[in-house]
This record gives sequence, C-alpha cells and structure tokens, in this order.
Amino acid sequence: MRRADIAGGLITILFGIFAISQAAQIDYWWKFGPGPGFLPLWASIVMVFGGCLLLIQALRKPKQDKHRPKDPQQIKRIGNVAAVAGLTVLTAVGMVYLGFSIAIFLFVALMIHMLGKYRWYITLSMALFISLAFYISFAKWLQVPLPEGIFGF
Amino acid sequence: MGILSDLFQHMGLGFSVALTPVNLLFCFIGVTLGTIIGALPGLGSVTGVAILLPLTFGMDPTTAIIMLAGIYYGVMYGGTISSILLNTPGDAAVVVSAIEGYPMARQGRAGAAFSMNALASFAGGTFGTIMLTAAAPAFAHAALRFGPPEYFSLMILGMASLIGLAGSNPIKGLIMTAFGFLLATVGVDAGRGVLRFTYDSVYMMTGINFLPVAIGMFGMGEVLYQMEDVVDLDILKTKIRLKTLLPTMADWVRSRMAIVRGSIIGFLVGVLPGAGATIASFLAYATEVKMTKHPEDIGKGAIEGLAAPEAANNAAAAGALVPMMTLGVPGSGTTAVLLGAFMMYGLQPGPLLFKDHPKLAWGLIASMYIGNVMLVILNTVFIPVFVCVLKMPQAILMPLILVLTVVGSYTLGNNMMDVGVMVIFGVIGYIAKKFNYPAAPLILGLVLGPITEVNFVRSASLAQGDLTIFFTRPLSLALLLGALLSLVFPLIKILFVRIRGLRR
Repeated sequence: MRRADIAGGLITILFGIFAISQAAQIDYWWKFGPGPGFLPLWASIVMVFGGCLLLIQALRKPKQDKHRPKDPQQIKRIGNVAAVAGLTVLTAVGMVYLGFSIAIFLFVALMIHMLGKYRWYITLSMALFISLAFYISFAKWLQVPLPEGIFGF
Repeated sequence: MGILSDLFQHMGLGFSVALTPVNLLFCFIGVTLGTIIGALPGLGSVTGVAILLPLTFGMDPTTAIIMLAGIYYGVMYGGTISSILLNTPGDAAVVVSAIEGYPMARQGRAGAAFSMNALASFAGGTFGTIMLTAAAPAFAHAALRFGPPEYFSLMILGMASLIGLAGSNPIKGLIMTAFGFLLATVGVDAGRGVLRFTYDSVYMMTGINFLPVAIGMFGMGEVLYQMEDVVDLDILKTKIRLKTLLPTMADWVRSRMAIVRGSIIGFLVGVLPGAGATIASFLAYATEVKMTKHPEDIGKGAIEGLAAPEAANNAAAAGALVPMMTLGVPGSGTTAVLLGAFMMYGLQPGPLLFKDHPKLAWGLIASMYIGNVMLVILNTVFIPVFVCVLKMPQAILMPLILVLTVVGSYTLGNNMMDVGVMVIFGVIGYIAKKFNYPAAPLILGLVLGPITEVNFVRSASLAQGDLTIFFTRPLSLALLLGALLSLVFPLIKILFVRIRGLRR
C-alpha cells in the first residue's frame, strides 16, 4: 500500500494543480462577494493539500520487506478486471451499431462463458433468457427508447 | 395535546398514501429486492439503490421513493442471511452479525438465527420508525430557522463528519470529498449562472449527472472489484425446519435487553451525521460484549450478540433518514444516493419537504411501518426462498448487474454520454475500492456541492461580501466547530492511543 499511496498522493497533487490552474481562470471575486471561481479554487487547494498529506503519510511508513512474496495471481486478477471493463465498453459502443438486444445478448453470453463452465447450449439459452428479460422489461414495460441498431431491434 | 393530534393527523395522511394498492405493491417489491440484494454477498444497500434507481423512472415520485427506501432497509434484514450462512456479510452494516451468527449456523441453529435476525430487525426498525415519526417534525421545525450561513455550515459538518468517521484513512476521505465537490462545479454555476469547466462540450454544460457517477462507483466498480477472484462461496448446508426456526425461551430472555439497547444505540448513532448503520451495529455489538451475562459464549454463537447489532442497524437505517429528510444532509453512501433520488424527482429534502410535500414525506414514513411488517414475514416464513438466492452463480449475477448498470445509466437521458461517464467512474470506483479510497464522500460532495455553493453565495451577499458571517452567527459557528471536531477526531484518537501506549 505504501507505493500505491505515494502514487495516489502524487496523482492527487497533479490533478489538484491542474484544477487550480483551471479554476484560477474564473472570476474569484465579484462586486457583491465571492465569484464563481471561489469554491472551485478552494476545493482544488484542498485536493493538493490532501495529496500532500497522503504523500507525507506514505513516505513516513516503513519500506516493505523486499523479500515479501509477491502475489502471483496479481496479473491474472487485473487481467480479469481489464477484460470485463473492456467488454463493457465494447458492449456500450456495440449497442449503438448492433442495437441493444444483440449487444446485450453477446455480452451476457461471453461473460457467462468466461466466468462459468457450462455447456455451450446452456450458456446461450441463459444469455437469450436474460437479454429477452431486459428487452421486455425496459423496452416494453418501462418504455425506454433503447438504441436500435442496423437490424432494427 | 397539540403535538399528539398533529402526530395522528400526520400518520393518518401517511397511511392513506402508503396503503394505496400501488404503493403497497412497490413497497413489497422494494423490501423483497432489498432482502435479495442483502442476501447476495458483495452487493450492499448502496449498490442496490444505485443500480435499481433507473427502474423507478416514470413512476410517481412517492411510489419511487417508497420502493427505494424499501430496498435500503430491506438490505438490513437480508444482509444477515449471508452473514449467518456464508460468514460473508452482504452489507457493511451486517459485518458484526457474522461473529455470532455464523457459529450459530455451524451448531445447526441457523433457523433460530434467522428468526432472531428478523424479529430483532423488526423491533429495531419499528422503534427507529416511531422515533423518526416523532423526531422529524421537531428537526424540521428547528431547521426552519436556519438561514443560508447555517445551511452552509451544516453541509460542511455533514461532509466533515463523513470524512472523520467513515473509512480507515480520513485523508483519503478528504481527497474524495474535494474531488466530488469539484465535479459538482462542472456546468452552470447554481449560484450565478456562469458556465464553468465545460470545455465547449454541450454535455458538460448540464453538469456531471449524479446518477451515472453513483452507478459507476457503486455498481460497476463493485463488480469489477469482485472480478479479481470469481469464486462461488460455500454455503453451509443446513436444514431449516419449523421446529428449529423459532428461538428458544432462553434465547428470548438473553436477547430481550440486547434488542432494547441495540435499538436505542442504533437510532441515536443513525441520527448523527456521518455515522450510519455500520457504526451503529459495531457499537451495539461492543456494548453486548461488555454487558452479556454469558461472556464465555461470545464468538461462539451468543444469540444476544446477533440480536443487538441487528436491532441497531435497522434502527439506524430509520434514524439516518432524520437528517436526510429534515436537513438534507445524508450520513452515508446509501442515504446520499437516496438524497440524489429525491433531487432527481425535483424534491429538495430539508425542513420544507414536510411542509411542501407532506404526502410524500409522511407516506414514506408510514410505508416503513408496513415494510417492516412485510420484512419480518419474508425473513421468517419465506427464508428458504432467500437461502436459494444465495446459490445464484456469480457467472450469471455479474453480467446481470453489469447490464443493469449500462441500461440504467442510458435510461437517465437516453444518451450514450451518460453510459461513458458511468464506465469511467466504474473504473475509478474499482481503483478507489482497491486502494481504500471511500466512495461515499465523493458522492456526498457531488450531491451536496450545488446546495452548499448556493447557500455560500447567499450568505456572502447577505453580509455584503464579508465572509466572517459564518463565524459571527452563533449557530453557524457551532456547526463549523462541530465540523472541525469531527475532522480532528481521528487525530485525537491516534494521540489517545499513543499516550496510553506510553503510560504502559
């Protein structure tokens, strides 16, 4: 956590400085009192301050033992997360082109295939059931105009 | 006399709203969904309310809020099911329930644990709701005298206490609050109508919507975090028979006072800004450990150690609605999301809520009495059904939630930008959770940001630009001192521990 907190502190400080530079362009004070730039500027300053505190706190912690066994699963874990996040982004983009139903069907089928070890026809029928349920509840009952793709549904 | 007749009048109005068939139905749907979401390990009340909020679009606001609140306190019941059977709590507020609940299940007393959970929860929830009924008008009345400076200081107190009390590292809470506050300043400035940080984007002009951020942080972020290890948990196999479902007479005698103490602690802690059901349940458990007449049983299935936190978290859930509804200051992530839901329906929680929307305010409170009755039945008679829910494989649950997050954020304005914001905050939420940055302060900063700024600007113009107005009005000063106190509270705690360590 020490290295992560040093990185977190630095990122917060950098973001805060960027926010200060942006907030400084807005009027800080008006004739009648604080201008629209007042609170954003102070919020950014608090961020930089918090980032500094976090950095100091992390630097004062003892360094971790170098011989500490590294988590061998770490890369696999982050891979899992990245795969799911990527798949979600693809689905969101795919919704526009393929239409809601098809994109969701593909997404659910792929996810179930990835996470569970079922036979292919079970995976497909579950995906079909879930995407149909979503389509019926959102498009029919809740009347949400879901994106329709090139196939028209 | 006046107060009492007012009370009856309010409750009459409330029940006339809550007892309509539609509201009864959605109250039932809400508490059932709440129990299910609670029972599923890893899904807490804040995730549940955030991802299911879009389902309420198009409903009457009163019905929508009744359902969402039902999810919130339903989780307090259902979360215990996974604490007892899996030793994995379904919500932060039921973490301590596993300490005594799981050993009980291992001794074959899962049935008694479930019933005790349901009954203690019912007692706590009903006590909390009664206190809410009594306290809300008093709070609202007192808050009517608040001017803009007091409001500003109150918001600061709300944010400061969430930073100081919640989470392991207050510095990270501070950073997240400031970040949320900055996000809130994007778009048209609420105080003066000036555009800020829009970078020529039409989407940014309307500001960053709270809902996609909440769904991302609490919905997608949570799923991504669980994707690190996908394991189906082992459920303790227990047969639940009617005979073992009821706690014994000895259990009752042991738990009686624990329920009373838990309810009182729960409500009081729930009302405090920044503290919520989680802290209430920990405090109630700690109290029972000290008070119990059977210290040898602690950690080995002492039923009073299950009853007290369960009464406490339910009482706290009702108590947390007092500051949220009457002052507009939520004390936890879930109440912050609920506050956001109020605002999405164009309702501003605060002292005027009870005056301007009495049907909604009292209807919601009345529905909580009904919801608690529904929950106690669901969690005793229908408990085997909810135990089955636990068996839902992760491979199905996870894609289901992800689809809900995508569709839910799209539903808000039927545009893909909201989905984009949701995904970005989903990734931020995952990173935040992995490195212990609390998400609730960010949501609180985002939700309270605009009102805080409006009151800030109004106060400043009241005083013709003199910002000392916040310190010269006594009530405002007191609130700010309270904020300072809760910010330095963690420091005092560290100092105290060090001094004690030196003495030894």
